[in-house]
Amino acid sequence: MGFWTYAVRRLALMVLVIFGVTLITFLLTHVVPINPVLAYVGDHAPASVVAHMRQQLGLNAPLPVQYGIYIVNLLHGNLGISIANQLPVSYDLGLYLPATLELSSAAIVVAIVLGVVTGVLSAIFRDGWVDQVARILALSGVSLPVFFTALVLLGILYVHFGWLPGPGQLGPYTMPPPHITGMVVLDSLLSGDWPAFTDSLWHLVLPAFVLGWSSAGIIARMVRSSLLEVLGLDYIRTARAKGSPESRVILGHALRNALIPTITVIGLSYGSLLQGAVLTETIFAWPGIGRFATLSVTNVDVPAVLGVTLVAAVLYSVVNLIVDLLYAFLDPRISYV
Amino acid sequence: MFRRLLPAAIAVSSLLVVAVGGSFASAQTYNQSNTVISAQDISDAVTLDPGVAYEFSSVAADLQMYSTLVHFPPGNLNHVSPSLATRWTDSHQGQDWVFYLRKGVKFSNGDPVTAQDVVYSLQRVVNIPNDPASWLITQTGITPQNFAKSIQAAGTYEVKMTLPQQFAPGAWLAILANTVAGVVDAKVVKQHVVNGDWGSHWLYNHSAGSGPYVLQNWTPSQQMAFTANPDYNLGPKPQVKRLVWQMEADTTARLDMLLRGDADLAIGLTSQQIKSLQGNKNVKILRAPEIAEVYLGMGVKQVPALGNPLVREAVKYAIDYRSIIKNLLQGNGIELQGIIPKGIFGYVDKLPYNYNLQKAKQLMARAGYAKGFSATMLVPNSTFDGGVSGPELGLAVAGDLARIGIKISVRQLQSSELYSEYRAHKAQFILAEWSLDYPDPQDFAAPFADYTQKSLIWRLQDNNVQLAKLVEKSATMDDTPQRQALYNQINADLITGPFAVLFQPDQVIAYSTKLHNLTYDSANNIPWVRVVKH
Repeated sequence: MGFWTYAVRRLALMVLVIFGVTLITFLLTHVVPINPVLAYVGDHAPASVVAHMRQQLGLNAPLPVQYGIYIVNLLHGNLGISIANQLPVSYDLGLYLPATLELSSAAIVVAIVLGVVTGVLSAIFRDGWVDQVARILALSGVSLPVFFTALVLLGILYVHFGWLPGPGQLGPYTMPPPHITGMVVLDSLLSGDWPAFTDSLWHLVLPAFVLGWSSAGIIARMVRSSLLEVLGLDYIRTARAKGSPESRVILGHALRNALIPTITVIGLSYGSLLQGAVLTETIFAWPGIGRFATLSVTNVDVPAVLGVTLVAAVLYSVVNLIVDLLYAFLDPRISYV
Repeated sequence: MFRRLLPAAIAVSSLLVVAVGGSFASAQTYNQSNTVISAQDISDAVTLDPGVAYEFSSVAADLQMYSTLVHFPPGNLNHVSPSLATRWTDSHQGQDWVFYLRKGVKFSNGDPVTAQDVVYSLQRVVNIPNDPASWLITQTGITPQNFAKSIQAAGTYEVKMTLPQQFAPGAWLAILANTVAGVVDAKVVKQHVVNGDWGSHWLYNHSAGSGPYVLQNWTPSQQMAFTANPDYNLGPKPQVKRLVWQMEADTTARLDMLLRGDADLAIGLTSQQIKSLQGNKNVKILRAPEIAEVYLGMGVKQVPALGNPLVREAVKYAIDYRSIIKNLLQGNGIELQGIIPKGIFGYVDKLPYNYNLQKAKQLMARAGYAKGFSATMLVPNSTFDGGVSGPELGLAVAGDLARIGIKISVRQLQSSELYSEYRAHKAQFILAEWSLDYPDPQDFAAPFADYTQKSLIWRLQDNNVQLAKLVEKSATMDDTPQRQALYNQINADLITGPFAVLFQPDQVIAYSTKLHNLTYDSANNIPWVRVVKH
């Protein structure tokens, strides 16, 4: 099977997955015995207003009809209108998604740098103290809950020492850059707003580290085991026998091949990060898709919940697809089946 | 090599030049001395359109950005004062009104405020589909169909209103002081109408008002920022030039921001955190009564025992109100047992049910429930005004009721689920809060005592026809001693009603000693135009 046939087949499967995700989410949001209109109109609105709104929003129609309308709208590129604020869900997603993209991308860079460096050092100094320390770091990254790491690091680096800024994307005294992409760091760079750029970058450090650290552990373990496996292969022995310096053997010959399985882990981590880190976003007051998802679920805002889930499913599937395609592309021995 | 690098070097240099240039271009006008940072939770805000906004944060924001025909002077919620209207007349028992506008008032873009703007602003409210705030206006009988007859501009500075039905004059003025009647610049809003949305999508995160502040930016769940309106001429110009409401969901982080000096005030701290600030020389505490009440509702048809007035009375005598205020609220509230809170007309200064365990037990025995009964209590998983969480208060009340044999199972729910069950008549016991929409006793009497309104007393299924008639009679009256007498009667009739009012909470704000003239009341929130920082 050729590259394109494989890609098209995967894309077709993705459509099925997304359809399944919308159906399950739709059913789940209707299991809870809550009138979504109440989250919007509040406790004070008269009963007649609530009843009228339910009718207006089509919530009295049978479930299959509601789902059918949703799917037809979706096929026309319409994600529906949020019950919570009566705005198109796509508009809300456009507000929240860039912050998550920015944070996830920064976090994955942190994860890759920390994970690969730690993994390589662990493999080189196998079972030595460097390996042990790296193992502890990797394990703590994976096993410590992000909210705990976030609160501890905020407590030390922001509250106690004041070395890093507190929650938010920008300090309150910094004027936000004009909206171009919605990603504050990128927008401030594109608009040439230097104070906003440095301030936003500074604000990104702690949440990106907290999130990145949690993914770095898995990457480090994967790099270590792959590298150790590759270092035991014949071609490495040959390279060493030919007198190649050790740095060249490890970085030039071994690491390249060892990184291939790591790409899958990186891809999966990035996919997860893109779905929004609810706890990290809450603690760092980061207006990302995780916060939007929480608010939407809390308000039983069905169109918004479906929109968030759909975007998360698409992002995850696309990242997965890219990883699979990349995997086969990087390793010629793997064929598209 | 050099040739290959040259384009990249030029690109990087250009970027740096733009960046440095940009840094000069965005030279900061606002600094710590003229900016106030407030750490608070703004995640409840749904829209900043004044005709639609109905949540605490969005209404507080609109109060800074929009002016109304009349307003309540800070701290005085008994009588309205002129604002955009310098004077008004009413006739036919509050059905016909004429408002005379102040000349020379400008919107933040310099446009004059005219009668057409007032009419358009109210017209939007009754016409925007699914507007949760519109009932404030439409309860007077005004509809999209009769609007043109009901509210008209008579010249540039005169607005005539003819309400389709009788409505208490004080209540109508109080509604006109609400942000739902905030006046928008019709010319600007009409330019942003898309698909007949009355400009609501645009006003979602833009402002077009004549209030002391203008919206600078709103990133939902992160930050709202306002800058002083240079054209504001309804009073002294704001001293604080930029207001930033920084979103922080975690109250510990809010407290940290205040203590580190990164925030000038923190709103919504817990009663324990407020207590921890006592003795801090850099922080002051503002306590102001909310026009609100936290109550225990009893579903009279859900549990047979609660259908008995003696049991309901026993419940009211079994609760240790003072202990709740002292220990759970740390003093951030006052005792209230009538349905109309202290601070507005209609308040009755009586505490009929002091904690009396003996009497409560006797009442239970007389009702035939000496051994008690079991019931479920619904509590919200959020925090009530005053700083006590729903579950915490629920457990305290359940503990009190256990002493007279009522075994309570506390069930904590998300607010939307709680409201769903409450409205579906499924609450046996429920802990809830009712707060001010507009400062008129009817805003409390109607939900608490008029079954026909299908509000609180209806949800608890206590169909008291006599009480409903009293409320109906008081609804259209002016604030006279006769009206007060009716509220006294309503409160007396509710002695055995389905509500045990627990307390009237305080709004507690911790703020830096650098801030001065900071006040709070339920109708005006914090009037930032008066606040000074030095």
